[in-house]
Amino acid sequence: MKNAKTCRLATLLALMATVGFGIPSSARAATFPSLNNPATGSSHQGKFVWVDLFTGDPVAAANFYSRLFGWTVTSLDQNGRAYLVLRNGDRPVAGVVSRSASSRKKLSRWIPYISVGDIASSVGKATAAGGVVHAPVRNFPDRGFQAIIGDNEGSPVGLLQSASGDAADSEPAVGDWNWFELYGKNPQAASAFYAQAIGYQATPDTRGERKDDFELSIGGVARAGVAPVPDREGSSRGWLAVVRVADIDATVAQATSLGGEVDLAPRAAALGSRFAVISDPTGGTVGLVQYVDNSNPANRP
Amino acid sequence: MKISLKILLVGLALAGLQFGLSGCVADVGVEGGGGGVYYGGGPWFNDGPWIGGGHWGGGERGGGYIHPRR
Repeated sequence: MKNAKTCRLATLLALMATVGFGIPSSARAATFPSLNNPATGSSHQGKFVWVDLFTGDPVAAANFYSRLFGWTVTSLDQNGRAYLVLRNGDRPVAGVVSRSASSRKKLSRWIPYISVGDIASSVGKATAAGGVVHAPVRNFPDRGFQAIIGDNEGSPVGLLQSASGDAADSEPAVGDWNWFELYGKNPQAASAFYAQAIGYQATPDTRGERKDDFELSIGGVARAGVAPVPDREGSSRGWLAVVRVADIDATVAQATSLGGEVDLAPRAAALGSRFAVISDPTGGTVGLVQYVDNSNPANRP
Repeated sequence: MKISLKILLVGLALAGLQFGLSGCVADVGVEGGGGGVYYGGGPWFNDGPWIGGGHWGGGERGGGYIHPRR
């Protein structure tokens, strides 16, 4: 009698294990949160709407940013691998993606995503302008269609046709992405690439002393800047995403205490703000900005 | 060996085989390439040097214009 019970139990356990592991992977992967809930129903071509950190150590990176910016971390099971969603308050602002095992000791990289209304068209224009496709267009349920391209200088950037539309423009809160700046060897040529691929108007930025910066705007709204990278060994091209912080000195000090590095110490920047650049312990680089009087200096008369 | 133990072992072996074949723990390349980066439940693209970061290149000049202009 006892043996019969044990036999039935063992058979049941084996069956459960076999069926459980045999479920197709796609059925067990959690979908991404939509960018906007409820959906907005409007698209803002050229707006930067999402950022992913590709890293060899997602947990270390997420811990760093959650402690530094107060972002909360939610883990989504992606078929046995976690995709971490970072939220500022209740709004998802970024994701953390694990790189492949062979690349886990390489430096991390933040890749921003630009909103496009027709991703197939934008990818086609990007390749025609000298870009390459790193990650092909794919539909991620609830998130939308995404692709990652390399621009004419090889800097990776994402394109995103959001399934839930794009949020209306608003003043970035503390902990939000504030600005996106591309550092390239030839800002004018890079600006021309993005103008062709996305439809930006690329104009020389005349607001300061620097004469080789460009501004990418669309519909009269400035979306990003393009600045030259110094021609020296070790300088890295690419997009820098900038987070607004309340106290830049305290944030930089905390970044160091959390194992990060200071790439550019806080200093006065354009329009009276303060700016710094830090790296997380996995090598991901972000910019920091503090509004000096708690208001966006770009909006002052 | 008791029959119940044999059934249990065979079941676990089958489960382990499916787990190994499912790609849950191994890198899966995309279109025959190297290690695939998982995104949305499966490999989306091949990892490569292009995705590797580097030290910030802005130097001492600062970071351009960092405010959205409305």
